[in-house]
Amino acid sequence: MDPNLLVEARSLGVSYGAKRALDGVSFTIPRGRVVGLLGHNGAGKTTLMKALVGLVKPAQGDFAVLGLDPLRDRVALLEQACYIPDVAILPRWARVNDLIGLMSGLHPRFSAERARALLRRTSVDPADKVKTLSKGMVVQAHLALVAAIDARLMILDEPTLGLDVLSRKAFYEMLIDEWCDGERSVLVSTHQVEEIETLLSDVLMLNEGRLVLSIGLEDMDRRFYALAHDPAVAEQVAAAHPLLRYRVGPGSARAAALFDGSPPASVQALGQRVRPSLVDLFIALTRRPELDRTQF
Amino acid sequence: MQPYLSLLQREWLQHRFGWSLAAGIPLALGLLVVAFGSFEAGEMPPDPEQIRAIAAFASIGGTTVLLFVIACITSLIFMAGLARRDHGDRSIEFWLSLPTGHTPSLAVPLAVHLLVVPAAALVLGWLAGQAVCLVLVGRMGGLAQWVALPWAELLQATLVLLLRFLAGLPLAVLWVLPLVLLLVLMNAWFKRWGWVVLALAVLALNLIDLFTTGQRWLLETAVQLVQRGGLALIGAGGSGLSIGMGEDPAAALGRMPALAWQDFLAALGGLVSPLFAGALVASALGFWLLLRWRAGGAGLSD
Repeated sequence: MDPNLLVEARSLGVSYGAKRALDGVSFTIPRGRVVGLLGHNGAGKTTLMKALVGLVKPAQGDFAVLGLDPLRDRVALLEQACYIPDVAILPRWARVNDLIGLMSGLHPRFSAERARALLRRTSVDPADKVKTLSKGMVVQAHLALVAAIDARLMILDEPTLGLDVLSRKAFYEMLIDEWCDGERSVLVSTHQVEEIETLLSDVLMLNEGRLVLSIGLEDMDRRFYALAHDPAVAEQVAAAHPLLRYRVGPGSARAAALFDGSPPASVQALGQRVRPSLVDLFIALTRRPELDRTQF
Repeated sequence: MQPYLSLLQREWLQHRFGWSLAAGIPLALGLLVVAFGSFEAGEMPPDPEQIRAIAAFASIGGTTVLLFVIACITSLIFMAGLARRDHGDRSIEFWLSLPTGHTPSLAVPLAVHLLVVPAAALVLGWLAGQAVCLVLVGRMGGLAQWVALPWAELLQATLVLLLRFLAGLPLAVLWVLPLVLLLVLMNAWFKRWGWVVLALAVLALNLIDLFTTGQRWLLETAVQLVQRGGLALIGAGGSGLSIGMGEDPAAALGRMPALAWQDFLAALGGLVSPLFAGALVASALGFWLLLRWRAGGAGLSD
């Protein structure tokens, strides 16, 4: 395995009975990346993340996280990779201080001092009982605990689900300021694509258990071509078979089309190239079944 | 070693309040009853000294056993929900995200609730029994009579009784462990229906057993495991302490160490049996099944 790669998955497949939750998923995550995992509900995001930390047994494929087999080497892996699942899941009976004490004993790379320093950035007091905290505060406390682990990979499954905008902003600020250092990588799934687009370096898109896109954001700008045009030429643009047609600009006065690759020069001449947003690309790749089945 | 200590600490942090209530309330009630209640005694020895010695021994031993029984009942209730205790607040995902092996994660709570808590209850019961003894004997004859009790023999006898229970506890746990793990597994596999499934399974297997072999082998085996577990704690030797009318209480209490030692040897001897070997194999299988269940995601996808 390439030592630069923190995650390497080849043809990963997971089934729940007869249902295939993941099917032939292949991707890599190098060090120092912030990777967004996008997909509709039920697309397989949580299953993929659980498989990466050894909580789900794959039915097929090879994969290694930090060079380890997540199932066989789960304990060694979790010493270097931390995971926050999709809801506030800290034990309600505990005080935050209790959790700091317990994690000090249970995690060899956890720093209690750093956790307390990170908590000071939040409105959570270490003496607070988890059950008295709001959902946003629990998530903040959980991130402070997890960010105090000297790990190489952080896996976040919808960490800000159900939080208000201020809590979401505070969460991502703490994540980027206090944890990302150019060497560590983050894999984060979320539905608030617009909010984290600027934080991401790469994106993975899942649709019905299959990976429909795995790309760096610089490459995305090069590969996908969004053309803003006058509604009057919509028919000509549509004839070039874009992935998606949508409206842009104030009052939706302008139309736009998203192409995989550059459209013919005659079509390019009908409008101006604009930067495709991640949301538009996500919709384009996951809403049309005949396109979704294509591996990019 | 550190993860084991931290997992022990977790049990303390999570259950300390419940344990305090489970021990504190019966003790407070017991003290109130002893201090203000009225007693009617049956046939008693004529010697007041003998009566006080019996009362002192009974109050210390009784308190010890009372707290022990309460601890066993609370542990049994806890065991019934052990597998899914962290599913209610979904904190199971937090615990599974920590680099702790499945074996210590399961073994520590089992050890705490089957061994540490009952053992602590015995010690606490013995200590609290001294207070109950003081109140009871003090009420019977004043503080001077309490001071005049045959303390050397009394302490020796009650301490020996305590040690006998403590030494027998691991043996008792090994006897009943297959049944306890079966209960834990039922909860793991069938959630809150575990009790119902277990009851139905026992009933069905018992009926099949009865119709095919004419015996109730399964039920009898389960009953035997519980009985042997009880005898491993006390009574394996078959003879108990008795104080004859007019007998010197100090002399009677002095027989306790020899009785307890013989009783413990008998409990140890009882381990050499096919039933105990079967219980060990069944426990190992049960624990392995629990490990597999947890390693497979602890029922998160159920």
